[in-house]
Amino acid sequence: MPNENLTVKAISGHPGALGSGAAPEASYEVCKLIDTTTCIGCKACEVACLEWNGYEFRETTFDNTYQTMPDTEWNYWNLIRFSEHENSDGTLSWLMRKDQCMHCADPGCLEACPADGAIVQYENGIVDFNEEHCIGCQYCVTGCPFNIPRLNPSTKKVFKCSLCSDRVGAGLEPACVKSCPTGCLHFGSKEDMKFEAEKRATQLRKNGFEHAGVYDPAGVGGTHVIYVLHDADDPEKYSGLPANPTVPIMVRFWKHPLKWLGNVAMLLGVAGVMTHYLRFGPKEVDAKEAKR
Amino acid sequence: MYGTPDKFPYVCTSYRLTEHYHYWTKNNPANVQLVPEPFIEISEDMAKARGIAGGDKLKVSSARGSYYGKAMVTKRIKALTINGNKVFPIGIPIHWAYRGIREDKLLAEDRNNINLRPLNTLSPVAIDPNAYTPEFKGFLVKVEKA
Repeated sequence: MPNENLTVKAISGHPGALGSGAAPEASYEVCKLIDTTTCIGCKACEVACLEWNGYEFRETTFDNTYQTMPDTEWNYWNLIRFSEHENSDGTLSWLMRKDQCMHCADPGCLEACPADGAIVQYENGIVDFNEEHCIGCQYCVTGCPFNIPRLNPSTKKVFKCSLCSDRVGAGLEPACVKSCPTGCLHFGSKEDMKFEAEKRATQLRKNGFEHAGVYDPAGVGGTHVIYVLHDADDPEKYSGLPANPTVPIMVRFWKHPLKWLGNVAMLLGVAGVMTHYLRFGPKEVDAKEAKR
Repeated sequence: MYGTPDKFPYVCTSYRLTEHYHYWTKNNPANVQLVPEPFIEISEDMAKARGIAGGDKLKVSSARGSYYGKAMVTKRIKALTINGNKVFPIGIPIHWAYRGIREDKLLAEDRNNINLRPLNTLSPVAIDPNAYTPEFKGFLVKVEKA
């Protein structure tokens, strides 16, 4: 089972080094494996997520689908998305995908966040929001290629799945994994989960799902939540799972070259003002203006 | 007792959901949140033929009783060809009957249009003479907009 190692790897908007405190023990990356091929859509994980994280059950209305709600919310981090997909050979696939934070190795939210300490990435791969430091700017929403962070409109803080960092830190699996009755959710080291996922994908390919594969997108440096899909060639049909997720180019540009250019422009401005002062001296109040 | 296809043209079957357990879990907010209301699954073909849209209130009646729920139009149920005739099957989960969290709330507002009867008021009393196992899984019904 995962470690008790929540050593900080990266902090949003943090100037300078992260400081000492590296854990002495060897760290390894954790991973949640979601086998969409054995999910039965019972939504036990949705209930477990609410219960562990202390959010209340809500009233929902019938919406011509088995899906609980149209979308995730700030206090509803985990949603099974249902879609009825007609395959090219005329058969039907009823696809169920557990949608939650993917815990990217290269998280766009952390990249975009300007608030020191609001988003933290641990060495084990968990990307966690610290709401007490959140300033509610929602840049993380812009930065996320999976459209995961959600704003609480009353507190103006952004929330998302924490991969139960509190449980993982104590050596337990996330609540959703604990509740899954079919064993379609697995939790362990990234290496082990990749191995299990590939094994399952190979089995599926042998059993007639030629395009079965593992979803661990390289565009965000790999994720710490990975899927086994019946058709890894077309993840979009799983209610819009992005085929090639990347951190938006504007976020990259704005946090790196533009930030640097901005700093240079500011320094040049200060230098310009100083040069002007040295060349022309202080502003004199002329007689006309003094009268007024 | 069984009805005839001229009056009851649709074949109805019943089943359970993973989210509910019998009639109990209507009193648990967790389960009610996941699937809040009784619904009736119909095929896209039938929805088109009858002008039914997803979410429309339906009344399903058999020779024995009636049941209310909202229409869920789905690709998962397809028209069948039985004896050369095109027959539309419909599917209804059994979990709603009697009172639960939602029913109690609705009762205060509107007594009509709310389903308090179990689905098995629709199904026939057809029983295996040896094992006494009831045959509730296929019976004829008619569907109206309620």
